[in-house]
Amino acid sequence: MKDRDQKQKALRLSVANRWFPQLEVDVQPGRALTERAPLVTDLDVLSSIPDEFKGFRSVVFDCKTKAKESPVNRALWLAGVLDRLRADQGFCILKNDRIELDHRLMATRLNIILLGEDEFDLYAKSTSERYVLPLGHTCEMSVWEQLFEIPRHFPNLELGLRFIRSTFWMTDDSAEACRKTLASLKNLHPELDPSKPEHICLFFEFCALFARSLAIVVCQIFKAYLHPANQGDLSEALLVMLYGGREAYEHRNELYKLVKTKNPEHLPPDLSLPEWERFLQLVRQCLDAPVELQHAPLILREVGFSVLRGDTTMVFAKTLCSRSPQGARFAVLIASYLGKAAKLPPDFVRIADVALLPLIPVK
Amino acid sequence: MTKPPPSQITSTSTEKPEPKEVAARCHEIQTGLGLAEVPEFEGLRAVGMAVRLSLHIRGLPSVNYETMRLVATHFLGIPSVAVKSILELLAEVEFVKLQTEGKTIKAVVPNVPYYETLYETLGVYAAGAGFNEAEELSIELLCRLSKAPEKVDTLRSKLGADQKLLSRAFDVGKQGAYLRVHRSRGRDVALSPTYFSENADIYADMVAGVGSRQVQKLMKALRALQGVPLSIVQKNKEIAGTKFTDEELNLLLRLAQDGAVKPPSITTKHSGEQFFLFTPTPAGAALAPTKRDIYERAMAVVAAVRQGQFLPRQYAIRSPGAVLYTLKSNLKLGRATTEATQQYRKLVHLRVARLVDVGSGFSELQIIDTLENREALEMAYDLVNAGVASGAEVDQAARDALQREHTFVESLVSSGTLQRRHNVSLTQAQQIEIEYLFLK
Repeated sequence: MKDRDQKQKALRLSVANRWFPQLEVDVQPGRALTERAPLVTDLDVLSSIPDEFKGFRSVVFDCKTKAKESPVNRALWLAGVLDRLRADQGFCILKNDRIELDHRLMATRLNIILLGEDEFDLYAKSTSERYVLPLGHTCEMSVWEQLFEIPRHFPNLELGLRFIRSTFWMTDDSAEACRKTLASLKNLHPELDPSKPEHICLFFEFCALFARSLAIVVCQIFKAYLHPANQGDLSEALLVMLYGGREAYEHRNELYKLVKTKNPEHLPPDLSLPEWERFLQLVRQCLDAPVELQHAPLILREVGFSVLRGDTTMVFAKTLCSRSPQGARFAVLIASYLGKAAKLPPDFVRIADVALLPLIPVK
Repeated sequence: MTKPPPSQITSTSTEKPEPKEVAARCHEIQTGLGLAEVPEFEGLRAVGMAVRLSLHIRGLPSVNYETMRLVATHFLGIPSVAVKSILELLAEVEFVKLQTEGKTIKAVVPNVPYYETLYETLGVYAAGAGFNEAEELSIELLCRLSKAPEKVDTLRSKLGADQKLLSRAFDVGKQGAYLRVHRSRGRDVALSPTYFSENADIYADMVAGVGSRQVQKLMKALRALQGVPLSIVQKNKEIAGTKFTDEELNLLLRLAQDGAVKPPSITTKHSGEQFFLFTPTPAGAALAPTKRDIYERAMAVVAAVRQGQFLPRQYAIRSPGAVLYTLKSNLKLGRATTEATQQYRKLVHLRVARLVDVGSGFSELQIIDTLENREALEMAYDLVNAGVASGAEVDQAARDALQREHTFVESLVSSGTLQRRHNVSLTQAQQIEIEYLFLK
């Protein structure tokens, strides 16, 4: 892996601040003509910062080793990337620490911080006291490498990995991302085997991404409805959000009903996510503490990585849960819902319970 | 329009009660009986306890098992030996996840569903588990009485139950304070104090006189338009589309005069003293003791808004729901008016709001921002929109205790303050008896 140290530092800063980092995200062109469009670029680290109003803000870390490239050129390039991803902030970490002050100032106007490799530690220690403390498996490069290696051992899981590393992050609308995460996991369900730690880790990865998109959906619902007075209101609001507006939903629902006439059994009367009642209840539970839900993705990822590492102590995951008991509870509920909705073998939910429940602090 | 909370839902048909209603009635019976032992009740108690515990842990982060045991016994009337089995029942219906070490439960992670699903799920569970004859009889009895009081003779013939079994059901119900029998006009009338807590004798007298159907009709109409001014009903001879005969109107008048439908009153210069009609204040399982004061404030808020809706001096409130929504979100009304002073004076007395004089006889209503007042506004909003207040059955003190450190709850319990909460206040019959004793 290139720029290993720099990426590790970006991961550390993210986890120290309790952001949710994603290593090496492949950026796709979006509306492509070809079936397999060539990638635009890849991002070194894309971190999601919990935000009370937006659900999450995004920050992109660009790690660069070549000394001869001009820092300000890199900043301009990164500004384009931020625009494509609708990200809020960028970091350029450069080998070369001789960066013109005027260039730095111009970059800050583009919401980009230009830092030399040696300066990054100073920045990180000054902004987060926890940067120097032990920070769990999520900021270990070796665990990420192990995750990315999964398709080599299990080629049928390749699509799942691609979703985690790229497709999910390219979906602008979080309700759509929510739906697609579930669809992607459901697609993988015949391949997933709960006896294999890699598969369990992948399940937790899907849970983490689902939690991230759900947090934004819940944030939007909360701002508009607070706690919806009845299930009907909540159901309608969610359906319209999940399927891209009322018109789009009604159109799809009509198609769905046409298909349903051919196979009327076992299908709900209207188009909705699988296990719709459970999903409604999950969202309603999350509305009790919408901001705490934003901590669930990192908890789920840390637990998944601990499983991959064979670490049963889960010390850091416990630290995360003690800071957000509701976030930990939501992590348990999300794993339960996703396991059932994607029709995974029940062992996945059981394993998630066994891993997560002891982490929740008991007063 | 919001749906009423299932604890206060009563089925309209005379068919077998729906699962959610069965669960709600089990909850009432269990709450009434508390820690008292009734040998023939088993499944019913378990379902009742499950509802009660679920309601109080909904939405909480994880709860220490030991704390839960203490709180369940001292606040919720669930015997400590039963807590574990109730939690296992809740785990079976996926309302909780249990954090265990071997066979010991360490903590409980709630996943209690919202809306009617709670009652529905536990009701279906209960139907699957089945009840014995005595339990079924008590549930059905209570289902009928939640709608309106009824003559004991009528009940006996409708239920077709064994005489002995029925007497026993009444005895247990009376001891559990979820059922009462009043003697009026030479007839025994049974009623549920959960729904007819105040002035039970007037209801009993009415039912003995005209039968329960008319009382049922009045209650249903009142639920559809809580807080309607009495004078408007007298004038229009209807409530929300339900027409009343003169006889029925007289009944309503009598209920209001005798204070049975608890009318808060507002006096204004332009419309004189007005009374506002509500269904009787719930009690027992349907209204936690800590919520009674809040419920009364909510009624006063609704009355004030109805005054503006039906009896304005100049500008009528067109949508009371919208006014209450503005009040609960902004804690004040959009503009000052000249009518506010008289219309909202009662709210000032109840410390719900203050009236700020902005000059020229205009006053602005501002809600005093306390948790209780915010909750009262929520309840008022529910009363206007759904006819009943939701969340009134939850004892906030129990929920607070569930979230405290275990040692804190232990000290609370050992101080003995909690047991005092279990003093059951005297029933009206007992009060009369005592008065009679002193008179003699």
